[in-house]
Amino acid sequence: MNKPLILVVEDDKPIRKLITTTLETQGYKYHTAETGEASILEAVSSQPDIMILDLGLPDMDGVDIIRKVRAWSNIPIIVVSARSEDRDKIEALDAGADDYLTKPFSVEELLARLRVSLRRIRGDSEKLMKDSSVFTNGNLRIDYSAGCVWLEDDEIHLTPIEYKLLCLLAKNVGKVLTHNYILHEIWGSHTYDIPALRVFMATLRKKIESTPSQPKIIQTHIGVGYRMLQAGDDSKVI
Amino acid sequence: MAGYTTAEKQRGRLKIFFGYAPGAGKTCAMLYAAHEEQKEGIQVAAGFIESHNRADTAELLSGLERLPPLEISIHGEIVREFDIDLAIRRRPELILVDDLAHTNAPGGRHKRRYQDVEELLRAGINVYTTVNVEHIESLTDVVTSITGIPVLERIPDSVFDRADLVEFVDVGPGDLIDRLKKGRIYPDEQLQQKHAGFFIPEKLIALREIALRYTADQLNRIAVQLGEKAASATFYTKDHILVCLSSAISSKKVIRTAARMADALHGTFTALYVETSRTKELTAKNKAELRENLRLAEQLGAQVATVYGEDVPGQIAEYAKTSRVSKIVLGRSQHKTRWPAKSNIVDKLTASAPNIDIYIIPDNGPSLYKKFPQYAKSPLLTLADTGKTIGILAVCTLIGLWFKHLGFSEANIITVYILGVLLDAMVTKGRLYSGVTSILSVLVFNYFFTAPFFSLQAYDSGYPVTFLVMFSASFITSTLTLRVKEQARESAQKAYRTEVLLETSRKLQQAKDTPAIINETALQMVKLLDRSIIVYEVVEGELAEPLIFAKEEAAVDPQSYIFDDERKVAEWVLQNNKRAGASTDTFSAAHCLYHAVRGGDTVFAVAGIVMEQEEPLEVFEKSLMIAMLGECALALEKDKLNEKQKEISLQIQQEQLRTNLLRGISHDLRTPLTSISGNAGILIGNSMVLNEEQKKELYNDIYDDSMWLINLVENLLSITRIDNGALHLNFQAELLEEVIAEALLHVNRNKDEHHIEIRLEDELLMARMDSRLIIQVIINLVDNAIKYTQSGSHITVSARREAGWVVVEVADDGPGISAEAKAKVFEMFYTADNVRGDGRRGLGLGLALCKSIIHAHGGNIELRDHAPQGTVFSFTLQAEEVNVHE
Repeated sequence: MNKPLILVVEDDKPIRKLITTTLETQGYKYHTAETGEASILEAVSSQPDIMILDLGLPDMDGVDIIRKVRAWSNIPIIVVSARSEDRDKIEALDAGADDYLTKPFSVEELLARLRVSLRRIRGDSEKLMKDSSVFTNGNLRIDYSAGCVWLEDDEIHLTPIEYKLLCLLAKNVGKVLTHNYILHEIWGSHTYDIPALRVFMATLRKKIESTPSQPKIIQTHIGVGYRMLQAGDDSKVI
Repeated sequence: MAGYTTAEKQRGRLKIFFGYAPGAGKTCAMLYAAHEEQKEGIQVAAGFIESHNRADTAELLSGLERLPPLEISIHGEIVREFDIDLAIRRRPELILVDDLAHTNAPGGRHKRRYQDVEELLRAGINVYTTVNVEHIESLTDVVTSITGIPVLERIPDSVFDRADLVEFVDVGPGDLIDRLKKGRIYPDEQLQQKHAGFFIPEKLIALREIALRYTADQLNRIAVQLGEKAASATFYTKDHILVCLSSAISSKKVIRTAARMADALHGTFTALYVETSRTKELTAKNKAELRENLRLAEQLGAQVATVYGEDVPGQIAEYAKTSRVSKIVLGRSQHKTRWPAKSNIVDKLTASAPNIDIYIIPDNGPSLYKKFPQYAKSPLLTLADTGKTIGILAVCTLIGLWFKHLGFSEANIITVYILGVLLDAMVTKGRLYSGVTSILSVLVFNYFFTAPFFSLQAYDSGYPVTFLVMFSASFITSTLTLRVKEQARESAQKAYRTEVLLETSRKLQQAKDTPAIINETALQMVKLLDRSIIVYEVVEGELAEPLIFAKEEAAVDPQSYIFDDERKVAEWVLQNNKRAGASTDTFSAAHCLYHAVRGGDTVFAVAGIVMEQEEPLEVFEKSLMIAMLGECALALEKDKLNEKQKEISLQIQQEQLRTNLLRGISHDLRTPLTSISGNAGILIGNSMVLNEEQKKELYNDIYDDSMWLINLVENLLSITRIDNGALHLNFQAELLEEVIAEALLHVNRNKDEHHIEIRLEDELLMARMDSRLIIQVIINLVDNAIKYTQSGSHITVSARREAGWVVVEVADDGPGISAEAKAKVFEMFYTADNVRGDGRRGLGLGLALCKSIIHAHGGNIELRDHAPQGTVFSFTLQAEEVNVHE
């Protein structure tokens, strides 16, 4: 996989131009679509590696597009939208989007998010090739079979819930997980206690981050959820 | 707005076919008129027609839609009645309802048919009806004196007066008698015989005259009313007629006379009832009579007023003077000897109010307070009081015997007995005991202490005088004692009334909102009436769920009075703005009495008083309760007005804010937009002549200005969210650490020139907040610190817990803020160094927004000087505790 193909779905011409120009400068290949229908056709026919999707399309709601695409494909979807309310983000993420960028966004940020997603695809394909019982991310190492976590060479002692949280994030590295998704995965569907989740996340972060106030591994998306970054990623939260 | 205005609905029109005797042809005339209307295309339905088996009536009925009557079974007999519910459901444009004065069979909604007709009219249906002259309330006495037959079914004059049209159906008395003889009035031979006494020319002529005059009067009244409306702006004095009520049966005649007088003079009409200590002594029958009289006065259009006091003429004179009464109508009984006070009333009235005319109506009925058996029976039967009386007499006798043994004179023994009677009057209830004791003491004295002893005879000729003096002395003593007792009781009652009303109004003033007002009123009513109360609040014209206020030790759970039938009565009260339910004429089968809590035409709530198995309300209680409901309505009305006022002023405020905001924005948007478009224009047109360095500078400016615009838009979005109210805020427990870290990612790009430090007391510090808005607050505060301090300054963001609150501070060591500016920084559109143009950037929205955000969170924001120099902005948020279970 040399030059990844990126599908840009955006009805506003200047923004489309901005995105495609940015992609060109980085040497990515791209296709564009202006409507929801065209985007689905394009996604089926050209099999892109990543989809950049605007939620406000003239013919169809962006969230519906995500659901349709998710029905048959696992490609990373990065949502770009002017809707800045937390619940819009959560809705898109819960529908299956990987990431969410609010307009106005900076070009660097878009590129950073693209890199995160690309690495995820590669990670997935690597995982398929080699034994996935050990997860490595920078100096963080998780041995799933032994249930141990190492930072450099020191073993870290995590509580059972912290360990479950870390594994969940590690398995979805690069992807923003919403609070509800995490609560559902860890505690089951009955307890929705977001404040408790925040506390666990804070204690977990203190154990694995070198400076917890400037996290490098677990990123907070206020009001939305958390994401584990691949070491070397420089994506910010917007 | 809550409330239900009955006046909004178009009232139906009422036409009365008025006759002076049965058989005059009212029903036929009505049916003819109905046929005419139907030809005009009006939907007509015959609601209820009494054909009396007359052939011509039955014939005229054909061709009209007939509503089936309601069949009610009473003791196995089927009675046919007008079906009001069906009529309202059917809603014809015009409905015919015969015999307005009819009394409905028990079990119907209303006791009387004219009430059914009233309801039809309120529902907007036009009604044709018939009535005979003998059924008019104010004419009853006159008609009875002519025909000699008492009339049981009467309608209030007001019903007749409110008719939009009256058609007098006339026929000569000779023709009428002719009709009777031909059997066209009563086909039944027996009935014809029975009524023959009525159809005598002299009687018929007199009745016809009365009816014609009454019809003319009614026309005259309407004309006067119209005139009044037209001339309502001009002032003219009206007569004010006052009738004094008592519970005497005869007083009905007085009331009717007064009503006719008020009518003839077109004056206002008031019925005054003076409640004295003796009111309590009335028998149940007399109480019912009194209520009846009050109701009659109301029906005849009187305002009923009740005053309290022992001095009846004084009270009447006082009321007459304050209410500017011009004429007083009094009844006067023939029992002059028994009523010396009656003539006193006239004298006293004349003395205290010489300008008022006094009319005295002869009144032959029995007086109320004349015989013992008419008093309430309870004092007669109390075992305790009888025991006390016997005991006192026995003790007196023992003391007497002892005195006699010691050789004291008889005068001492008599004094002991008089003392005994006095004591008896104090400890027993009612006049009867003291009277009986007086007599008994004389007899006992006679028996034990006069020769011959132990017999009721007396030898000494002086004894009868002794007995008489002894009896008079004891009787007068007891009467005086009783009066003192009554007065004490009465003043206690008066004080109680004043106290209850004062307490109610004080509590209502303290009540802040509608539920509190209703709650207070209902509790006061429970206390006053000692009955359970059910209140239905009216919300947007509909009854809300009932609130129940049970009295202590309620025998029946008031919850059981909440079912559909009861609710229907409450609904009726709401729609018709009239009382209904138990002890009234409407829905009298209900378990509760329902009163509307109303201000003007608007009903705010319906209060139900549980009446099950209990006596109807006392006059005293009722007037107090109505006063209370009035207070409640006033309080509710005030509350509603306040709410509206608040809403309006809030709207005005928001409107003003928006206007200012728009003005500020459009001004401040221009600066960065000019810079962006200008710089881009230069780059497009002159990129050839610019060197790389210059170009980079222009790019940077464009970038900075657009970032500034982005920040502005974020702030504006926050404002709109705050504007929508706290309900739309998404409050959650958030970690301060995360929120501050997130905020610092978004601050001004010049932040690298400053030393920014985060200081947290505890990494797990949590507060309740809408994270997006609080992030905006921190961004604004830190941006301000960056903007207004020299580069290289130290900025510290810290958070700590302080007694249930989390205090967040943004401190800098810049030049600080002047005292004058401190007062203004939180104002909208204030910017430091208020120089526009070059001074750039700053709508002055930032801190004002911070303030409204923090206030929406229930916290506080303030600033203070930072030692040794600089400024500290600090705000508070509610701290959150999180329980973590692994």
